[in-house]
Amino acid sequence: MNVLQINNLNKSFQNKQVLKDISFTIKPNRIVGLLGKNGCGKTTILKIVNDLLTKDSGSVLVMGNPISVETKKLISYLPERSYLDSDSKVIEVIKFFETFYSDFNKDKARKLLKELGLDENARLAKMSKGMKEKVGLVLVMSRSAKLYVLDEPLGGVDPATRDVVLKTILSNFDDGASMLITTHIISDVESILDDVIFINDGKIILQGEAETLREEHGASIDEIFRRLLK
Amino acid sequence: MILNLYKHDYKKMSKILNYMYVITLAFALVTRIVSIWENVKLIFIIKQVLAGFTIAGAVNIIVNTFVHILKNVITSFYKDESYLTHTLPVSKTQLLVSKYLSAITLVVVSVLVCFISLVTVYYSPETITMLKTLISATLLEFNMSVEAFIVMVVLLLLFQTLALTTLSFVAIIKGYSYNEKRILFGLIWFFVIYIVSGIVMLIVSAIILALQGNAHELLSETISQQTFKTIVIVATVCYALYSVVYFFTANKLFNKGVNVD
Repeated sequence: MNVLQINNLNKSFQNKQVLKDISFTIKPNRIVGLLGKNGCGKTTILKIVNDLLTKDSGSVLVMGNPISVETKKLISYLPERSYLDSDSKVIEVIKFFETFYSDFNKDKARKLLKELGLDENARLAKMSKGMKEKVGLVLVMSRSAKLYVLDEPLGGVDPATRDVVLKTILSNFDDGASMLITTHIISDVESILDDVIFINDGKIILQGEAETLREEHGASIDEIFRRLLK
Repeated sequence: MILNLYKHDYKKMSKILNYMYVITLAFALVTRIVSIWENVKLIFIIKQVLAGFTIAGAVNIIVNTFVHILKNVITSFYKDESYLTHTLPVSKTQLLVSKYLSAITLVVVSVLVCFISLVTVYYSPETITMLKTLISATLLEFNMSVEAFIVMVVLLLLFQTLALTTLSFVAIIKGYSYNEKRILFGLIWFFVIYIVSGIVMLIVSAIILALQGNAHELLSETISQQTFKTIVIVATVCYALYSVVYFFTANKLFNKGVNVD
């Protein structure tokens, strides 16, 4: 069964169509990169998958289920923006996740916090943007989800720390689970991607297995991206 | 799950208000203590100032209660925090019920704190007697006991508060269904529904009074006991019904899905 199946998805804001007939599937155990320039519709797709936006038409199925409470149990989502209550301490947010997500592993979260050098008693308000993003990543990766959806996980992280973040992502998602990751910094994530979907102006312009695309185009994914969106 | 949501929502809504409760109650208590020596002129002036602070605190609590409820609903459902709210494995109805219950609890706690503060400052057997005499004199024509009057007014205020709270939820959800000027649209929806509901209540009252043969009293300066009771009962029942209707409307609109920023 496909982990995620999107068929003919359309979305407009006022008179502007931001998603045009988007269709793709994610199979189990795959890391899929949703790649495109800023404002091309990547985040809109993720927001629809996570019930943060309504779709105009088309279908979105997660493990065969339409978007509902059931799909929320299956998806672990890291939004681009900081969404945690900044007045809270890290440990309080961990307790919150433990309360609401039955698949949340508190011990794993504490271990990851240590590995990333984060203090669980620190208040989020006192943390930098990069540190908050790491906390968000820890929370998301401490769940045993079927689909991890990461929106620009490297956006606020300095280049020196990106490898650590990528290692955390790779070494902490469950067997059989899949990941949908959006970014416009392709060179950093290229090595971990199994499949790629290029999106421009709300339309999919190219998709396929990363290795096949590299062979067909005789170039890296980053290079293909630059050529397509020149 | 709903209990956990409720605890979380109430904690968030009451965070700042808890400080206001403590400050207002502290002023009330100090006012009471100071009033022991109020025969001294200077102490009397200090007592009056402190009583003023207590009243200001109570007003502040009531205003801030509604501000915090509305702020919490908007930030939790439509701002950054919504990315967490709407991805929790709970239904939209559960989210709404939790917000509604925590809002009601907060209103009740705030009203109680204000009541306790004011009683602390002003309670004395003489004050109670004076209030009773005042109300009894007003109710003389209506042939109604003070207790019955208080129960009627409390019920009316309770259902009116419930109706206004649920109406705010409807207005916010409706306002945020637009792509821009969401607060403005929310306010417009609030006033439109409020005015229409008021007109419906007036029509129902007029029909019932007409059936009782008292419709002319709606335009006169004095009203009979029966008309007074009819108006209060119709208003209370209408507000109770509106609370239910508004809640189901909010739930239906919310379950259609959200479009967060």
